[in-house]
Amino acid sequence: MVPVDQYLISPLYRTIDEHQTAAAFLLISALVFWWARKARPDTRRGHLYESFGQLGPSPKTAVAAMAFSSVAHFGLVFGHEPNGLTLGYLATAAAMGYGIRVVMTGGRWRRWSAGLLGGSLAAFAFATVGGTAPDQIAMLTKLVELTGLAAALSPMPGVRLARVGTASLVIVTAALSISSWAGAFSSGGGHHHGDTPPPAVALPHGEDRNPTDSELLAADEFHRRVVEELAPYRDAAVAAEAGYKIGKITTLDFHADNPSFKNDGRIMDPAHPETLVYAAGPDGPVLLGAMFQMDELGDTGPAIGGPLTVWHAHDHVCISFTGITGAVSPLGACSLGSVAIPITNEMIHVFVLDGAPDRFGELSDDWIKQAIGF
Amino acid sequence: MPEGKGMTSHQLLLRIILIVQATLLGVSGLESLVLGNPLALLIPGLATVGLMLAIRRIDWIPTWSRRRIRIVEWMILVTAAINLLLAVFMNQRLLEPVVIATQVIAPIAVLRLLKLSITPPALPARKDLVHGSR
Repeated sequence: MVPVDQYLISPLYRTIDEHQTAAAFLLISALVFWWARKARPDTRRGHLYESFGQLGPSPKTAVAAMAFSSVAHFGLVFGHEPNGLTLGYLATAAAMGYGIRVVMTGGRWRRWSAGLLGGSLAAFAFATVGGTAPDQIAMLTKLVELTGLAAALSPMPGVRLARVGTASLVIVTAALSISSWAGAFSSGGGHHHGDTPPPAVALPHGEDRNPTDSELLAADEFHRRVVEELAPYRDAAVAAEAGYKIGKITTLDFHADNPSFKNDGRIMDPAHPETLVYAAGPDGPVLLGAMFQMDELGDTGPAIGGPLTVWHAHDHVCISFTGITGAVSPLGACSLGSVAIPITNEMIHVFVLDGAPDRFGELSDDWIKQAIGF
Repeated sequence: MPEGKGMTSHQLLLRIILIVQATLLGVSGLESLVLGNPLALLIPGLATVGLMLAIRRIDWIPTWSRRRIRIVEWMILVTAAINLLLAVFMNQRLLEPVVIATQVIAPIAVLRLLKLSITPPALPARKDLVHGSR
C-alpha cells in the first residue's frame, strides 16, 4: 500500500468517488478527439475536426476549454444522485456545447466564451465559498476554464480594453485560488475519526465510535502524566535550557522542537516530548501542551485512548530554506523556491491548559485567545 | 505597440499562459505571508514581477526578458522534478493532475512557445547592404 493511502486526506488533493465518472469521460473524450484526427475530410467527423483546425489560436483555446468543461460537467451528472445540482451540471454541459457551436459557426466567440467560462468559474467560486470542498477533477476543470477565459479576454482590441481584460484575468485567477482555499478549509476540520481533514492534514482510517472505559482510563492517565512532566516547561527559559528551540514566540501555536528527542527510540514518553507548543500571551509565552512524534515515516502511533487519541500526519506540505511556507495550493503549486513534502511522520498533540475542550486534538484560535487572556 | 496588435499566434498563447502563471505564483507566494514567513515571499514575488514585466513586451521579447522567463520556468521545472523525486523516494503516489498541468506542462509549453516566438529583427535586403549609402 502507498503510505498516503493509510490516511484520509483533504478532497483538495484527491479525486472523490463521485467525480471518478467525470475523469473517465474526460479520458474517453481525449481518445475520441485523437481518433477524429484520422477521419477523412469529406466525412462529418473530418469536417468538424477541420473546422476546429481552421480557428485562430484564441478561439481554438476557448473551444477546447468549453469542450473540456462540457464533458467534465456531463460526467458529473452520472456521479451524483439526481437533484438540483445535477440539473445545474447538465445545464452547464449543454450551455458549453451551445457555446462551441456558436464559435464554430462564426458567432461572437469572445462574448460567448467569456460569458460561459466566466459564469462557470463564478458559480464554482460561490459554491466553494459556501462550503463545498473542491477536488482534483474540479480544480483541473477550473484551470482549463481559466485558460479558455484567458484566451477570450486577451488580447482585447484596443489598449484600454486589453488592460481591462488583463486585469479581469488576474482578478479571476486570484479569486479562484482564494475561493478554493476557502472551500477546502470550511468543509474540513477536526482531527478525529469521522471528520473531513482540512488541507495538509492526513488522518488514519478508523471507526467513529465512543471510547471504551479502559481507553478512557488510559487516556486520562497519560494526560495526567503529561501535565505533571510538562509543569517545569511553563517557564520557556527552562524549556530552552532543556534543548527546545524556543526562539521568538509570536503566534498562537508556536512549536518548539527538541532535536535531541527526535528519533531517540522513545515513543510517546511524557518526560521527553519531541515538541512543546506555546502561545504568545499578553504577558509572555503560555505553554499550551506538547506534540509527540513517531520516529519513522509510515509508523502508526499507539492510540492508547482509542478514538480519543487519533494521531495524524501532514501531507502536501511546502518547505523552503526559511521553513514551512504553506501547503500545495489548489491550483497545484508551492510558492516558488519551496518543495512539496508528500507526507510526514505521525504526530499527536496533548494540551495541558486547564479546560482545553479537546485534550488530544486541535484548539481553535478563539479558545486559545480567551484562555490566555486576550 | 498596443497589446495584441501584431502578435503572432505563439506570442498570443505565450501571453495567456504567462498571465495565469504569474498570478498563480503571486497568490501562492502570499500564503507564506499568511503563515508568518515573509522571507519565503521573496522568490515568488520576484518571479511574479519578472513575468509581469515580461508580459508587457511579449510582442517583441528582448533578450533580457526571454532570459527572465526562462529562469522562472526552469525553476518551476526543477522544483517539479525535486517534488517527483521526493514522492518516489518516500514511496508516495506520483504528482496530481493539477500539479502536472501547472508545474510540468505549463513551463514546458512556455519554453517551447518562447522559442517559437522569437521574431528576428527585419534585416535589410542584400542590395541595400551593398548600395545602402546611396
